[in-house]
Amino acid sequence: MANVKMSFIGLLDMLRFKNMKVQRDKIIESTPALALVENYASNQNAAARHPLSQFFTIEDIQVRGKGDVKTFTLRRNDGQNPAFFRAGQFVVIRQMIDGKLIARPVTLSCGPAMTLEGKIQVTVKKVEQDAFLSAYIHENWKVGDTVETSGPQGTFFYEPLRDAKKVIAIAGGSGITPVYAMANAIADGDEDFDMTILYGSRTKADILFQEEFDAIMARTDKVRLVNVLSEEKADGCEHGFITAKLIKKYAGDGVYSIFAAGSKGMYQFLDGEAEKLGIERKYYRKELYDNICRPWEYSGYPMEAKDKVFNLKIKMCDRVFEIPCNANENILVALERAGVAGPNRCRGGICGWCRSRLLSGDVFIPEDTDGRRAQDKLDGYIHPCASFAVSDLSIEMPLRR
Amino acid sequence: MSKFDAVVIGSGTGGLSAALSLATAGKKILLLEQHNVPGGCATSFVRGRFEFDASLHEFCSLGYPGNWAMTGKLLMEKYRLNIDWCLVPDLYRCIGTTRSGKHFDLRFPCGIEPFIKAMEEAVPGCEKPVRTFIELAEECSAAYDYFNDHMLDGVDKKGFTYVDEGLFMKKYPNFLRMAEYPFNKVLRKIGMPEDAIDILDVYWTYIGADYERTSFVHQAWMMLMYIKYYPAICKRTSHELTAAGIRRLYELGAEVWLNTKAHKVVSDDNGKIIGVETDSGFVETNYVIANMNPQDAYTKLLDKRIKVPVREIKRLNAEKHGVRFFEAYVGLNRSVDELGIKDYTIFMPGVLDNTTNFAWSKSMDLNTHSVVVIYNVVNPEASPKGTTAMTFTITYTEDVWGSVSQRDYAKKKTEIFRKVLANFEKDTGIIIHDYIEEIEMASPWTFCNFLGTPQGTVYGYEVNDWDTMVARLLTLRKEQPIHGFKTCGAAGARGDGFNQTYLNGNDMAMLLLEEMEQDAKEGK
Repeated sequence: MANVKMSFIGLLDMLRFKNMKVQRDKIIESTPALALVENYASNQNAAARHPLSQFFTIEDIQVRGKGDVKTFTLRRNDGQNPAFFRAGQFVVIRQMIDGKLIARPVTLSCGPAMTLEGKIQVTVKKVEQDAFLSAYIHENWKVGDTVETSGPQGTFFYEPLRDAKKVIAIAGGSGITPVYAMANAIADGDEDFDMTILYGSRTKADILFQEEFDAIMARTDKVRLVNVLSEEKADGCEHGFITAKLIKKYAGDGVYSIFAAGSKGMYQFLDGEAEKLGIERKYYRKELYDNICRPWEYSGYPMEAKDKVFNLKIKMCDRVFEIPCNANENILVALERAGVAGPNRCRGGICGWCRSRLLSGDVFIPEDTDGRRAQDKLDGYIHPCASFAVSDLSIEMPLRR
Repeated sequence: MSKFDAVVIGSGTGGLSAALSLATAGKKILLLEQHNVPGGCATSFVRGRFEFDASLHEFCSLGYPGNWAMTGKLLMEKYRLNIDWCLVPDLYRCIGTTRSGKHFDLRFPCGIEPFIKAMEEAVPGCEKPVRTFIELAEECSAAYDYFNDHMLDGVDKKGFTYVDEGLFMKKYPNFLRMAEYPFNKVLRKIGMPEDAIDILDVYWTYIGADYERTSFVHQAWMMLMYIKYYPAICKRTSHELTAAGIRRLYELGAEVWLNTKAHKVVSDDNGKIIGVETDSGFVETNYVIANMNPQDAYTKLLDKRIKVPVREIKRLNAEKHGVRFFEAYVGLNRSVDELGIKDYTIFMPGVLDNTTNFAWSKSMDLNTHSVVVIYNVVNPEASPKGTTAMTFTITYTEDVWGSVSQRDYAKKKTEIFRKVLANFEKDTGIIIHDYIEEIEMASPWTFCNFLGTPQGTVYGYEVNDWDTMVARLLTLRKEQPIHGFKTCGAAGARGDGFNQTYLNGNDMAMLLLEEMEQDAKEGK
């Protein structure tokens, strides 16, 4: 065995061991008992960047397009700046409707620099399918009202370390909002890339933000807007669908990233066009679509479950709720209909905020919106926003927060 | 109203371990977690087709079936967790220039003899002191094992942890001799060449220590655990480790409430704990373990009627916050074979000089030190076929990210990563920048958000000359003075690391169980 003596007289080493705790005690006892610091700079910055909720007053409402789109300017109530964000991100709007808390993600339709003036903008299209929130907002939100949102969320933003310097942004209808936010961010110097926008609308009258884009393009030559009309021919506009050929025409040579924001239908079409272009996965990014519905349209759905109503038992901490669960709607919608407020963020199966534990029963989970962790798949966890009941269910769900 | 034998606040490794320990002892436990996933650092997140491990690089002191090391015994035997472990066959590759000006690019395998051989090849003539080092490390390790098994047996007259000095003198004299001395000082004493010291010091970010000031015992033990038992990772990220603990808790009848913040540990007028105020209402209990920094526990969690002894306030003033990280999680659309990547861990300190590394880590601009971990080298299932999942870690010793503005924050992260990436490509010759399919970056702000620790620190309090692991363990009971309430985690006595926080959670559960027994006896 090694016999290493550190000091000249080895016994002193032993004394030093005995003395260690005494020494430590002395140092502690000789330190002044100042009040403990409760908050540091990084903690404050993090809290400002990632608030659980923010409260705003509606300052202004602009009506757009054919009147079915409204932009709301929201000023933060507490005098603080709203959380800074990456252009393309969304907030979750939380709204009490008939005593039930309804939450939906809505893209921030402004550049992040607007937060430095104490405000943000969101643009909401009235969608018949999503009868919960957009119709309510259109009919009820007025200047002076207080509204609640989450902090900024989502990963649909430009990442210089990953994306090509040249971006072809493809937007359909109100999918223009994240692209519009990116254009603002470029003009404000918060993002640095070249963006050609292929913006698909039915007719000229459906185009949103045209004047604002014109103003942005006057400020920067890094943004170009190309309107693509599917149901009308007009000067200065492309006609038809956004095809591989059209993308190639504007992308030119060299590497480029596609950023697509639109409906599920648009993505299905675009996936085929992207394949024709042979574009690598890393250069093809799509915004999530929320409110996953019509599960029977996905492969593997057990058709016998369609149109059924199952019993859903939810354990939330020490409370238990039993509610009906329509098989045709995702589980989070069933909760909302029943007035049970669960955790809510992307509504697209990806972020995992609504992660819950399946205690019994079976669910159907469409594969392309299955954002679960590998271990969670084995352990029977589900993301209710992208899961559909195919039998009576019992789940344990976290609180809303 | 719900009533529990004990409530554990926070499901990070320390809290999860404490909950497992208490539940194993038959107690009815509630584990509270303010986030929607349990695990604290031991977690993962999904981006595109990648699932990234948030933090686990190398689990230390696991061992293997039939020969579990200290932490392995706790997880696999006491808690009976079911985990698919992958052992890491190599210690590390390190690239850098030592203080003597020599440039090294070295690879070290696990296993004692292969390690000694590689050290001798790197720095000829160091074999003898390296053998002595391993011998000392073995003795310190055996002593730590014994100490670990007996440190809760009792206290001496002054309230310090009782140590059977006669036994230690006989069986582990070098442990007693080494305990108080810094790592590098002992290496010099046994004749370790300076270049070899620089190479052995490269692990400094795993303890967050300056080895001119930090205990030999701690670092020697950690290194030996890695060399002898191999580091380990989980097949399905460290979320698998957490999930295994949660599954076990359910088996033991515990409750786990996610997204449920504990706002206050409530006491009666005499300072006796009567419950916890949570997002889900008031929960009755007389015993609480909080997996959080004691500074936050004392200022934000405890009822003001619970008196925190002055010594605790002094101690927390004396402690220095440990290190925090910038972390880049990168998913590449090429395989490790296509890219020519062979190493799991690559230390790229720039300069192989712990003291300089440590000093430069105070500064965002000077800091050149990064640790690269490439999961697929050890675990081919770490990401889909034809892709690679890797992380880059930079260590900071001060709150340098505190002064970054909201507007510059994203740009700063990009700038820092570009620097690290350039160093990686230059040092290894492996070009990856065109293959980045997913990237996420976490700064101390991110850790503030998810862990809630002071300044986003991950390693609790710095272990240094006066504040070594051994000294803290000798003072263990003095530093948990509130009856029925303990704090655990990286800011606990054992310092940072998955293994240490698992052990510390168990320590605190054992102390709490003692108090529960004592109260039961006294009929309280």
